[in-house]
Amino acid sequence: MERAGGTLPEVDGVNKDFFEGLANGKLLLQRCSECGSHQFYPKPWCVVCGSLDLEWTEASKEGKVYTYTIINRVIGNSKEFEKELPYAVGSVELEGGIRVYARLLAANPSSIRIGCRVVLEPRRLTDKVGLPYFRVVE
Amino acid sequence: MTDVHVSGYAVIPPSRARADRGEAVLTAEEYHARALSELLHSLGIGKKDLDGLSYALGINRTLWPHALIWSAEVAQNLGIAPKLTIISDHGGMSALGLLSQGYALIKSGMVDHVVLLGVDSPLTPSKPQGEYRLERTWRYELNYELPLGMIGPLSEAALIARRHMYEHGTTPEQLGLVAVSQRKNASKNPWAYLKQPLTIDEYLKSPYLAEPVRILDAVIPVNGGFALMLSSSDGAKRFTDKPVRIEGVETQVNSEPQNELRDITKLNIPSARLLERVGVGLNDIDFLELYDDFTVVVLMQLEALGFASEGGGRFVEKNSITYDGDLPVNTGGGQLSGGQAGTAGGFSLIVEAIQQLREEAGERQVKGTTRGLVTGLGCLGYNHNLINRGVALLSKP
Repeated sequence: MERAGGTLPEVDGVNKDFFEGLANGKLLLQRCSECGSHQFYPKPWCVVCGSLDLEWTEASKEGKVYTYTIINRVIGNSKEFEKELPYAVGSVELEGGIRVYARLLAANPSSIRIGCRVVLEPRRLTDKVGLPYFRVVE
Repeated sequence: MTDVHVSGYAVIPPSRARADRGEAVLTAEEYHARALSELLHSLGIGKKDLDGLSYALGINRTLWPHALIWSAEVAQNLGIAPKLTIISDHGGMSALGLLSQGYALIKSGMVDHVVLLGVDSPLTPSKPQGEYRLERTWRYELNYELPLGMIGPLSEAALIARRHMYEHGTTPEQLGLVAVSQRKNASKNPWAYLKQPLTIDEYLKSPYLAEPVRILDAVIPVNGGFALMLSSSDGAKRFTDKPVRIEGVETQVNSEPQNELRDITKLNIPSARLLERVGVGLNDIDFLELYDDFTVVVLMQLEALGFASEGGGRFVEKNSITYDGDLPVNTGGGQLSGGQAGTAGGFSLIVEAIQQLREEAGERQVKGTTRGLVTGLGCLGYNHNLINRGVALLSKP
């Protein structure tokens, strides 16, 4: 679904707490009540032990950049993103070892390096949907 | 149990559907007909002879939507009645997936032959491409990638390439060597789409799409069609005195499903278990046809196969990978120069291996070759690399 400024996720029963959490400033991950594994993206059961008993747990607000790219051209996505070019997206490694794709905010995207510290700064789209944005801190 | 051979093949030259340049503008259905026609011609039989065979038909699922119950429609368009149809949804592993299933069907004795039609026409969609894009992608891309402004495979490849540079010291020049070497191979391949010579300087001047991925790090999309005839040992004798033996195929779907801390630069294709089963070593392989949606993916496979313990980038610096080089890789130009016919792109690598092993590769013929390894990789997983992985060993009988 397109929105002003980009593409909206499709909210469903498995992921709605994740998107709502970000709208409220929290990054929520699934945790298995049986084996304790964390997982992301949200899935209908624990991909480690197969338990259906999953709970939501808040992740730390800090992480580090595992890898990143600077988008130079918008291909196969909403043309609305062209206004923001160039911009950085990356994989943020959270404490505990889960990685989440996120938009990386930096005054100068070319200063981003693997290993940079980042702090959660979610982008609220509606009161039910937020997106994982992190700010790069020097 | 019978051996399985490739008894015939066909290539319909790739096109960017530029009518203004005199290029073919064809639908997937037209590619099916042309590829089958060319295949029958190469086998020296007519359609009525095909009707008398015990065979299965295999097709890949194309980029743009077709009917839910599609294989029977394809058969109806062609007026053929295969015993069974198989259809692959493995993305870039589609050709290897179909080869694997076809191999098993013949081994089991269920059929004597399998006709594989690998076609796609990404450049001639029936409605504007953008309208399909969001309907057709993975829910995880739709929900956790596109809203961030990611741009699909290009951005995922960029994340992998950036980390590969960090882990292995890979340089832009090393990635460029893959593009340049494959272009040299393509220059000798009549059916490659891009044949004009390419230099490292030209590569380095090509624009970034998602830094560090440049336009010349990525495949060029084309329309195209391929066909393969797989046959039992006895069945192959009827059609050719140059059968190519399928020594074995291995596949893995959703590789490494549970490791959130995986190294995304590691692309462990199931080659070790294949080599062990067939009983050959790396030294017994004369050339490689490695799935090449992006330059970095070629380097990752050289590492995974065990050819480049010092890193794929250093390997291509020290060793020539052209058709006449130390280790010939993607001898027809691969998809980077040959063109990627959507989800049928992997067929071009299998067909190139067959041409090499039949010694029909003309100016790009690898001298004295007896065995080649082909890979197929598909489905860019979330925070991962290509998770569908297939590998096949083909040889002279």
